[in-house]
Amino acid sequence: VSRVGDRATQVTARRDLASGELDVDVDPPGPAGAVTLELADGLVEILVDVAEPTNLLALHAEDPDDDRARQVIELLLGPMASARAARVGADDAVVWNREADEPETTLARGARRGTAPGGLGLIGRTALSTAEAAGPLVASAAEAVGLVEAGILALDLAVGLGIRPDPLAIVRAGMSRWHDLDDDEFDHLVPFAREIVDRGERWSKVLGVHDPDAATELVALLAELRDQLQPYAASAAGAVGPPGAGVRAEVASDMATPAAAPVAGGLRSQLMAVRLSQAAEERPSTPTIRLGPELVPSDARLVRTEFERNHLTVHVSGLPEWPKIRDGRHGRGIWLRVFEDRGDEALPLAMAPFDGGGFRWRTAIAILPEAASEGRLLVDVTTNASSPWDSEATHRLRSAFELGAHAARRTRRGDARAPEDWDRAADAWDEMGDEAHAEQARTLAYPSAGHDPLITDLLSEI
Amino acid sequence: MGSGPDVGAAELAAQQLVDATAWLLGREGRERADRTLTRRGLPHSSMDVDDLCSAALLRLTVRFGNGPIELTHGDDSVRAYATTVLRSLTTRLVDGGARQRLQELVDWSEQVAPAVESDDDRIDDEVAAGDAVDIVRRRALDAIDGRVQAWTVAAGLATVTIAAGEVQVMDGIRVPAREADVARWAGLAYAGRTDCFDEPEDGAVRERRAQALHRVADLLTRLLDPHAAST
Repeated sequence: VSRVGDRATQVTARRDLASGELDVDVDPPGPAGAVTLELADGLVEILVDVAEPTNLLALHAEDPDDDRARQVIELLLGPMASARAARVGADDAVVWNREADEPETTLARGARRGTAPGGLGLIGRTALSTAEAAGPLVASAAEAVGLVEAGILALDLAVGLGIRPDPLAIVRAGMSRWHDLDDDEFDHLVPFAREIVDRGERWSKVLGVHDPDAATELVALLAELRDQLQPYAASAAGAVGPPGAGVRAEVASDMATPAAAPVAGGLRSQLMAVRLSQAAEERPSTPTIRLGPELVPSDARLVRTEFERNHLTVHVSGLPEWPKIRDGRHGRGIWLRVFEDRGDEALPLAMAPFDGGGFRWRTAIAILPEAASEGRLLVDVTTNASSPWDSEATHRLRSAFELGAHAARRTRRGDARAPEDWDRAADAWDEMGDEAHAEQARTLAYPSAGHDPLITDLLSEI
Repeated sequence: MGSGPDVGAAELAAQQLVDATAWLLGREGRERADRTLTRRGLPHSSMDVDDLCSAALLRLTVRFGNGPIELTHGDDSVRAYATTVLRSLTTRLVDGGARQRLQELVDWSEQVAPAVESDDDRIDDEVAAGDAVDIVRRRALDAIDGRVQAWTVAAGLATVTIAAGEVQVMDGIRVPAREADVARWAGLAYAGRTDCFDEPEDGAVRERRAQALHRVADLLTRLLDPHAAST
């Protein structure tokens, strides 16, 4: 029996005759996008739907004839479809059709998608948890505990699946960060201590089977948290705060400069305290600044920009507190990035971090070359420092997926604002002229299944 | 540039880039890009295909700047590699780069030692010569991974901008007396490494700053001469 999930009606496959690589397509990603998981020691990559993670969307096998890859493909597609996939050529061929091959799994007329059991099951949840733990806006504490949960989920089904990165390495990465949390970061866990400790008891048992020393370490971390136990925060499972507002990516350049805003100490304070002594040069325009797609669901709002003496200063309000720069440690931070539009490429000129969280305004100052012309600058605010400059179309597409992923996160934790978030996602898809994704998003606003949050969902910032 | 790659490898890489570009911008490459977008249910107008091909071309340019790829699939190796790049870029559209970030989180290590011998004077010479600045900028974002963190790249970009003699640093940024070190120190400040300038400046602060400066110099050496960083 195939594990493709209940959304697919058929599966197609084709093989690149030169490289031997196999591509299997099941269904395109829904309005919240997809996550990937590497299996068979990296020989197989699967794509899993974010909003409905029991659904396999696609599979790519570098060397489908390798025994490890073959076993995983058979596990996912079932013996019949995998045997057919092994024989496909360069043209797309149907290797599985629900009505013909598994009529008993065809949903009854009127049945809701996502309600049938089976599909990817824990494999899908593992894929989702690894991606969420590495999410662009997770707090340090959520990242630490989320990596442990993701690694444990992967460990629990790792036998024969060959998940990459190595699940034990994921757990260790999480525990290493857990140890490194400072007091403020650790406090972030306290309202959810009961939930983490409860889950942690199971995590340590699973871990003990694979690495007893690591399990002992985890038990010690949980014991520290157990000391902080307090009643489970009602906000974890219910409505959290006021309803979110719409996308707020516009520049409100007429707002007052937050000159009096407090900023982080040390050199940063000096930088902000010392106003540039020379008057601003006459410049024809201020560069357009956009938020990275991952920040579109947040309350971030560009407040003001200044371009003086080859320094671009940008003030932003409502930025999430996370991720933080941690003085060269493993924090990722929120970055101001400046590119030069050269027509055929966007050349990175500068990157500058936004100063520490916890204040009403946050500021970044980038130094630019003398030759930099404002009219040719492309500027963004993002947590994804390594991503290239995206075209407007790509940015809109990524933003729509991020709005969907945000709504899916809130849906998993039973947040009362989730339907509204799905509406925002649907609107974003509508604006792109993609009615199918918009309709899917509206359908997902009212899930029939119960809530099953990942630990990162409970700890997520926005 | 510096010790540089051996000429044969550089020529092979250049030829592979020419081949990859020709394929990507030709009918077959654009059809493949269209198909890749279609399979993921993504918009695939002519402009969307252009965007994907442009992004792939940029990545290929950076990749082949680091040397030739292995010919694992004979004459089809370059095409197969370009196809992989198209697929990976399309995956990034739907997953937002989550897989790459997970790998970075797992790979991250505070103990990573610089893998190349950096030569500050040589970096200065090359930056002053001109072309090196664009090379650093073009390759900078791709350098961020589990070992090279974003602050290092931010500092590197600021360093080359200042070292190229193009701009003055802001008042209030603490710089050393030695002119040759001004750009490097200021680069750290613009990258937010405030901990490298904590007061009072004790041995720990100086050591932290020295390590940070070393990492930036190491990055610039890698960006200017990727072949030196093969270790």
